[in-house]
Amino acid sequence: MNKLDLFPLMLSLRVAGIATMLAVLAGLPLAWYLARQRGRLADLLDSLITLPLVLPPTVLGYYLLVALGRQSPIGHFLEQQFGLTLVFTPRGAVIAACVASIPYFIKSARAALEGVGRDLVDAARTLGRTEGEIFWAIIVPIAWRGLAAGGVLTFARALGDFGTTLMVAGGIPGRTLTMPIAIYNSILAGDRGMANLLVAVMTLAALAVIFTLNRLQRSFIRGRD
Amino acid sequence: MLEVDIKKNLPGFAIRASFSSGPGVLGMLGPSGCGKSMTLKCIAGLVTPDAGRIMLNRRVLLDTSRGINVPPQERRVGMLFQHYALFPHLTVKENVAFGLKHLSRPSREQRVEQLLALTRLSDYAHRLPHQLSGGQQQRVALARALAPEPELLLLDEPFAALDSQVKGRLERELMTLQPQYMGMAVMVSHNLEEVYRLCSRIAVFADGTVLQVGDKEQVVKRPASRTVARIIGVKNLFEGILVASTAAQWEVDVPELGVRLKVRGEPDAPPAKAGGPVVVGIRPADILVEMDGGDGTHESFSGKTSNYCAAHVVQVLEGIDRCTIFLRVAGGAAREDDYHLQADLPRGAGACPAPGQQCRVYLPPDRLMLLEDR
Repeated sequence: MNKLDLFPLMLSLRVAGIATMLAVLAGLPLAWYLARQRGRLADLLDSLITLPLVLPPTVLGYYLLVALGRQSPIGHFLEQQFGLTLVFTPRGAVIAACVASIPYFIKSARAALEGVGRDLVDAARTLGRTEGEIFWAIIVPIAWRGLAAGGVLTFARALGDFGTTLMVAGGIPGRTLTMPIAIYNSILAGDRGMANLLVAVMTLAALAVIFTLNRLQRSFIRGRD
Repeated sequence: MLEVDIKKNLPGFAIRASFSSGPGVLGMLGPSGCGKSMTLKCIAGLVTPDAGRIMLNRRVLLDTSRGINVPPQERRVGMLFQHYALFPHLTVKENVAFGLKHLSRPSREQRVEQLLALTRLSDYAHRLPHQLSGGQQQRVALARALAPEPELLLLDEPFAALDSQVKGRLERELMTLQPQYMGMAVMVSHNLEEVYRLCSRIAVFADGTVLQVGDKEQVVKRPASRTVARIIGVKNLFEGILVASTAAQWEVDVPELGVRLKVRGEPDAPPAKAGGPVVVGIRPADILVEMDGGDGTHESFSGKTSNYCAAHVVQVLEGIDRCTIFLRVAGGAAREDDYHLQADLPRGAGACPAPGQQCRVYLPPDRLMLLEDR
């Protein structure tokens, strides 16, 4: 049995962590927009956001590969201007994990934001507070539990991503080899011991996530009982 | 001074609200879903009307023809929401202080303390809203709305969610606070009693339109139309023909009751020319009833030469303090309902009349109202 290589675990945690942060940053405004708008544009946007949930991860990965590769306008621009390559790099893995998992955050966040009563926002307005103040002082604290649950789900999905990451980042050992791909590789190589160990680590991580989610749902939030 | 003249189209109906109000409380009365709350939200700036103008103490809050629409944050209009809309994650103190961000910390503290004392909430300053009773929550909402010293306070069904004991007490508190701290207020309610008790003026709403605005006495005594009469509790309404009118007295034939009624004349001209159709109305409590063979709890009918008829009791609803009886008039026409008149009798110590009992009914000329049929 080989010595346990911790690199895939650390890379996966880092990739999933950054992907979750990006998903929250980009997802919160989108969720806010979707929670308040009911137009055709909002419906279209909602469909686009749901797409990664429905598409096979490999198809999603293929789109990203085409969109971000050196031949694409985006990939070309980034490489020329900033010397950035995305495909087959850890950055690519972050983008793949983020795109694959962001729907989970947006869906939860949207439901949580919609759950904040319209009257509360209206009351805050008549009390002279700006829309930005209302968002941070009223809406986010009240929707906090739903937002946190969305973040945890997103992290879990990002941590477990296989297909999309493999397509975009390639699973290069010591560079872009994340946990799920490492498990696949060790089974292919017939290293059952390593596979079992990695699977156990992933299972523990998943359990921790589910436990956190349950605690979040039960935890005492001021004034929401 | 508040002046409102707005139009707003909504799915199913449209709001056409036009009224003005001075110091004191204006009560907006009307059935549920007639656009009262939406009108309040338009005044607060939370909903934008399709067209119109809103002025508050010479400030233009809205003028669609000039493209002016002051945001709710700058209107200086406070609002008390039906379900209070307290911020669930903030303490009583934090809720009240929410609208005082413009003040320095010491003056904010001082203002909050003053308001908590005023609403008897000082002991609850650090509680969360869900730890308070309904009446306490309402007082927090009131203190919060009054904190930034709004020029106008809007109250949306302020007592709808409270039980009657708490309600009575809060009504008294509101009456005490109002002159000093509220100045001008507009209250929405579907409860006539509540509006009459708390307001100095009444605006009657139906289907998004203001039907009548005026001093509460005037609205209740002299409703402008059949619809207004129905909303202000005139349960007995009959179609009739105006037969004759002098300045002091009008006479109306009412075929439904089979009688000619004398109605005390008003300073204004009657609502129709002689021979024209009118509507006659009377409140259930204004009808006098004398049971045959009873001891006659009311003044004797002897000497009354008109406005009375024989009837019998069809149905009785026994209340604690009064009996509501439904009467069929002897010479009355056949009707969809099985009764002609609904009368409220003070109960005193006696029993309510029983169905089938004969009686005589007197409709006092000074209590009858003559209305336009619309």
